Amino acid sequence: MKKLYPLAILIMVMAVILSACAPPAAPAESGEMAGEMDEEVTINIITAQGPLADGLVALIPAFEEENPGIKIEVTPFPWTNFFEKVISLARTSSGEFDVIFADDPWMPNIVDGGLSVNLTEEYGATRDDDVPQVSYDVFSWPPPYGPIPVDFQTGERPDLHALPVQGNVIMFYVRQDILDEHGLDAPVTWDDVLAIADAVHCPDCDPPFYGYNVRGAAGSDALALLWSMGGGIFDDEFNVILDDEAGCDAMTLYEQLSKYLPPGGNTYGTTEMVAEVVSGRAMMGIGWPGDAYAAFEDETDSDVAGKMLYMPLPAAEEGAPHVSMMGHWGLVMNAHSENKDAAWTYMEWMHYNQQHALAYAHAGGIPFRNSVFNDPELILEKPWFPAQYEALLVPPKWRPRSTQATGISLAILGPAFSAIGAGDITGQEACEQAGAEIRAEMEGVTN
Amino acid sequence: MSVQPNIAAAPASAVPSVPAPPAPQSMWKELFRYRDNRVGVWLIVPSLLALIVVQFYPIVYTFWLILTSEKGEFLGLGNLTRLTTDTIFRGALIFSLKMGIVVVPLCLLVGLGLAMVVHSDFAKNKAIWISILIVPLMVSEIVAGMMWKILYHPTLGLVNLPLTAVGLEPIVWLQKGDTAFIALCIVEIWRISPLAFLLLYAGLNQVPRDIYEAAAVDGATRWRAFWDMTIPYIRPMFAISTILVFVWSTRTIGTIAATTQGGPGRATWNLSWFIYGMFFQRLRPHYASAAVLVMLLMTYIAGTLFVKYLWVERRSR
Repeated sequence: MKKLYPLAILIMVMAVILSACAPPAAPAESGEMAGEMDEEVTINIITAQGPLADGLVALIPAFEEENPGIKIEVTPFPWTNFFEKVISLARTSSGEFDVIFADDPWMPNIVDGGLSVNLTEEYGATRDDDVPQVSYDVFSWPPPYGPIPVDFQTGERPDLHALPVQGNVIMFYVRQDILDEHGLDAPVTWDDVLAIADAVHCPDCDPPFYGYNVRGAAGSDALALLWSMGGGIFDDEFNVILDDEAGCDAMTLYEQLSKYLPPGGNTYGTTEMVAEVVSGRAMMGIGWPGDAYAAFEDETDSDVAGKMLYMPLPAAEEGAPHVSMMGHWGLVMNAHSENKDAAWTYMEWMHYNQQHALAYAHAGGIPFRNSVFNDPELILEKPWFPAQYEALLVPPKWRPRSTQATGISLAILGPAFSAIGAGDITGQEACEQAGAEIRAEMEGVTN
Repeated sequence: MSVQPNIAAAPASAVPSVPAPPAPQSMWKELFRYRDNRVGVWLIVPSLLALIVVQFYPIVYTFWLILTSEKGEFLGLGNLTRLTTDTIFRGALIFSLKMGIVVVPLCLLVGLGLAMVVHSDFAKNKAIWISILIVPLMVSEIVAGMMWKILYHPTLGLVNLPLTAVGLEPIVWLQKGDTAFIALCIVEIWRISPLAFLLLYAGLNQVPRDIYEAAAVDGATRWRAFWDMTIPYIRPMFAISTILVFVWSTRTIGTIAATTQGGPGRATWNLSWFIYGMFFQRLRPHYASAAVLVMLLMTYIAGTLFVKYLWVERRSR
């Protein structure tokens, strides 16, 4: 008996520890309800904070009403932590979240990390005619065109690995009333932007007025400027072209634009960038509609509501395409989910129904359907939608399909633009330096 | 008061034969003397297993990462030698050390000053003062960073208010590398000096009051009493504060994320920011782990030096 004593204690301790590790039990229900609860499935969705999450959350009651037995839980993350989480999910093959509402640049990491399900093959996902085809292309794998790293050149049919739900494209905003005041036309090229900035910039006025505005911290949105100037990071063979003529011209342009920024504008994040516009102190700049434009048009807090002009990004020269940058968000089914069928029910419900897409846009999301972008009632609420749709049809560029693309953008290109904005380095020097760094970064990388 | 019998003085023959006390054993031997302590040993096993899983597995895994490449090839010390030629890493290491060198003495000075004021007879309602002064400790790094970013705003922030009030040009604190460094140091001093204050205040409370009275009778000045009595008493707390402030200030990441995001350029990249970027943005966990090892070594060496020169050696005088 004495010998059994320590063993019994050990078993008890281990049992307590194991019970602490177990998932929490569902609350007990009585009668018929308890029977239903046993069959209920909860779909956990991970997404970014802000309008993306707001849109999903707003539609949950309607989905749950139409689909009894499926509950939806939405977990919003800040954008940067979200990418870390996606990487962690891939590394640990975790099924913690059934659906990942993912940013399109992460597709290489998601597919390469084995996180996605081939929706065309497994669930017969098809392309809807009401959706711009580029919005499907960006979520197809292998990438249907553009530079493709060696590991992803499989020759397989590009199949859908996510369903678009948010068709975001970065845009250009400008104060229409100030243009009118100065008798200026809306900018068509970046040279026009420089001329307008020079004409309206008045830092010593009371209140001051600044010719250009930017999310300068860590060189955000640098890639959009690069593409609109005809530059890029890679050519179609994945050779680095950042430091070619067009790339260096884009970085030199940023050097010139930096002269018209508010003091410290180079250190601004979204909040400060928006604050300069809504307080009526900034003329124009590049911005993501989801982050900024709703704030610009909010009559309660904004001095510029109804005074803004929204347009695709200016071009490098007259007649050149107004190339913008995609920032689509799509629903990815986690390959490690244990509730795939229920997850598909939800994804289908969100993507293939026009009314649900419209409701999502009304709740703060960006449309992805032609009909929703052009909905007259919605345009009254969100006056930038027609221009955004126009930018989507150009079509815009997507971030390079490499697992290293996010790192290159955040850790090489961003700091290069930030150093230019601070006046520490010229555009030419920055493009040469960043080009060399990207070459070193991509050495031996095949995915 | 008990009186010890003078055993040594008694003749050897008069001492009764007493069994010799057991020889002292090492902690581990005593702990795992299974026959005498079965229940205790079994109760420790789960904690020990948890400790191995939580503490040792990550360390071993980190070493495995350091010695191999992202493709699983054995590199030996390749990742570490690569760090020696990496100018971005060197910049981040220097930034971290600079931050520690500036922030540690200033935090200790501010912390000691506050501790002495609150400990003095002038400060009434000490509990209220303490709870107010430690507020920055309760604020997360990110929130502190965001708050200071607003304070540093060139036109709207309060930091520039005194400058503009006397007709000086406002400073754009985060625009240039050197002013951004000063700005970050100020945030860190604001954030961490309450920790030094708390520890040093606890140290001051351990100093017996009567030694000051005795010193006053002997004619010691306040400065002399502080230097020769207060400081030696609080020296261990000083060493602990120094280590903790050094670790906190050199490893900070939330403050940088919320204020400069490493910019302008890479002017405010410290080791934590380098490791974070290398791990989660550039997806090079093996190389990032080598930088983690350097960071650990830096902390270990600094901690050892602080303990050696601020605590053990001086205490033995």
